[in-house]
Amino acid sequence: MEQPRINIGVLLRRQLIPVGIALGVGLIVLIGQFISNSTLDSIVGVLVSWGAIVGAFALLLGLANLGMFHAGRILKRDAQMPFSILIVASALVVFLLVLPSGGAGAASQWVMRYLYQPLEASFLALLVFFIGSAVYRALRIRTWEMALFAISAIVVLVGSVPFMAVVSPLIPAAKEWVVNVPALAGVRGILLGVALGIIATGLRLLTGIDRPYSH
Amino acid sequence: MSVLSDLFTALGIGTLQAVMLAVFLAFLIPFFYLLYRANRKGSRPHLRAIPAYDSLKKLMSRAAETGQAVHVSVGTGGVSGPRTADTLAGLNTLEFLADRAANSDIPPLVTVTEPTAFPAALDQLRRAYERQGYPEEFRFDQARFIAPPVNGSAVPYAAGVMDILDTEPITANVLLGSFGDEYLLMTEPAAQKNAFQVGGTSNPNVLPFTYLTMSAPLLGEEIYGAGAYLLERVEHYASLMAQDVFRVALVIVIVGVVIARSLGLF
Repeated sequence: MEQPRINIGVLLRRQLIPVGIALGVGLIVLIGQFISNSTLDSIVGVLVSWGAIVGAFALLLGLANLGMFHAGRILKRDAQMPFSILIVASALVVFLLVLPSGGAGAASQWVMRYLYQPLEASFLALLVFFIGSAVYRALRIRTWEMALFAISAIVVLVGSVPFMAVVSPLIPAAKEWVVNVPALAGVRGILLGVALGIIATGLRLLTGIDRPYSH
Repeated sequence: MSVLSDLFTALGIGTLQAVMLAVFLAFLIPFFYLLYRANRKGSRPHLRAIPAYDSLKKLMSRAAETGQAVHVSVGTGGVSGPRTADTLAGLNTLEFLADRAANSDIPPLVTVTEPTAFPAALDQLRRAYERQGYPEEFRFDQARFIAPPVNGSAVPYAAGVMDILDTEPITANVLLGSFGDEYLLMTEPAAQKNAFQVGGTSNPNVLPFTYLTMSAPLLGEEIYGAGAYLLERVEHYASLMAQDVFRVALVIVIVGVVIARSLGLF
């Protein structure tokens, strides 16, 4: 049986060079975390700034995707076309407003303070209603975990109301106990597991075993 | 001990850094040993059942039956920051779903907010179509860049995803990666439409939302098991087992220190 031929050029381009770069850069940045050395720190600084430049190009790619998607919807006269026109128009207006003074300029600050932040706050306010409907739906699933979940939530919510201390000092004390004992213990256990998961993922990347960037 | 301390000082390694280095190096031993053993035996170790991964395996059949797409989000983190591991877990899940979708007519609808995660998500889709022998089926718009994070907030992205979940035919919602408070904004519209939801995050503040809204939740470190459970790769099995070994060792150390301190030994 004939063995498949290995194309050295393809192997270099698709595997060896990307793995070599990732391994080298990853190891230098990792060593920089452990050792305080001015030369090493400056090399790590340069590598991180290169990462930021690559990130900026990725943003351009994303904006191209966004533009193409909405342009397509406008050209096809899709039912969502008015929203696409609104998105493209508002992006252009903000771009033209911010362009002369830059991201830290007065126009950019004005857009952030008077347009973006109120919109963001309005969206986050929806969370109250969403939490309500999610809890209601959860309570309909009659399991002991959900009951425990609901009881803990009620204890913390009621215990956070300031005048509850006047009704009974036990209520805020119960809330403090829930937050500081079972909840904190659970969170620490989760964080321990997460830290181990991050170490394992980092190790797979650093050793080139996991290669999300190459074939 | 003082020799070691002097050596660390000369190398510019502080106490905290030395502890970090010790933990990292200690992790290497079970990892490489288990990787060597798994490679030699070539057998699949027994993994405890996680319903969310079982659901993910059936998700693309569900999409094919209903003719509706599966929405996939790899989180609001990128691939060049402290939340990279979460994003990679999301990308592993995307790789698995994209592989199955490449054989059907229903590609997953992938949405992204972090610019660095966007090319990575596109690449997973492209490679899935290449692996399955349909490279011409891959399109640039199969992953959608919704909006970049603004001052670290992914609310604009969540607003875009809410709109997609509300207006487009979606059979399931997969959110696996790094998320913040905006998580609930992206799960509740899907829950109200009775879409099947699978996903999770490592952020403890978001876990109550995950638990409340997901049909099959993944809590904390469970998200890092995506490579082992879905892609069934030997190296992922090894790292999962190394995590378990290390966790047991840490628990023994913690309990030992508690007992020792309680007895007044130090």
